[in-house]
Amino acid sequence: MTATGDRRWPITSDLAGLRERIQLSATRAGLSGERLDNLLIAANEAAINVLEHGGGSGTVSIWQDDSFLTVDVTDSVGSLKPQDAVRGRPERGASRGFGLWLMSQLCDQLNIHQGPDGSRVRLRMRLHPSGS
Amino acid sequence: MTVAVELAVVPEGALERVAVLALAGELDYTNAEQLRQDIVEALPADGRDLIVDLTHLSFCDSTGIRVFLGLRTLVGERGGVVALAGMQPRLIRIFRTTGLMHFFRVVPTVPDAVDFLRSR
Repeated sequence: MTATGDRRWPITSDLAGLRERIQLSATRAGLSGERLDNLLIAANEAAINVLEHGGGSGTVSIWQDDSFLTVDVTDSVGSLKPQDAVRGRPERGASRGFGLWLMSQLCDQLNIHQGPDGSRVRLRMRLHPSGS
Repeated sequence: MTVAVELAVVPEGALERVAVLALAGELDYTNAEQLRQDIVEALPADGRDLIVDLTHLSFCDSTGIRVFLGLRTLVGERGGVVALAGMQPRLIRIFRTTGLMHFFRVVPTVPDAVDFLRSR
């Protein structure tokens, strides 16, 4: 796999700046319009999760290969498990799980890796959604 | 820190007990609570219905939507409704995706919101 254009940033309370950087990278990768927006909203939700539940420190990195543009969001707490990526729509009023559900609706792929140093949420958008 | 969402109270002479608030900026986790407080302070004591002009709000995340849901409850307790005007396509998308569009009266412009409230 040839991953190119790897960029990584710490998650801070400057979410607007983070969105701007992701938007720039995703635009360069060829994402636009609704699909670009969807990735931005999903990445923002993942970063919120880190600030709110993930110990407050983590990173966002963005990279691409032939098929996907990928945004990886890591935290330092590691309470998110792989099965958290597949749960359904949370009940109304539930304070947790809403962001993850939203990410699953907005991205082509969502998966979670749990390791000794924390959890990693992986958001992926196909670069050629028509299958070309 | 993300810049605070700007809040302006817009004079609305056509209808009594209707407040019009205009928001500008990007609403997210880092400024949602501040905006919630600002709006609660800006609401007139004798107000009933609320029109929120979102023409210049370019982003809203799930915590921002929670602010609107809270407003809906607050205004609903006074017997009023919340009308959201001028939503950008990105905002419409996130409201649709979350399934919360139908919790609000969504109209294209503030005059449309006034018409709706007048006909209520």
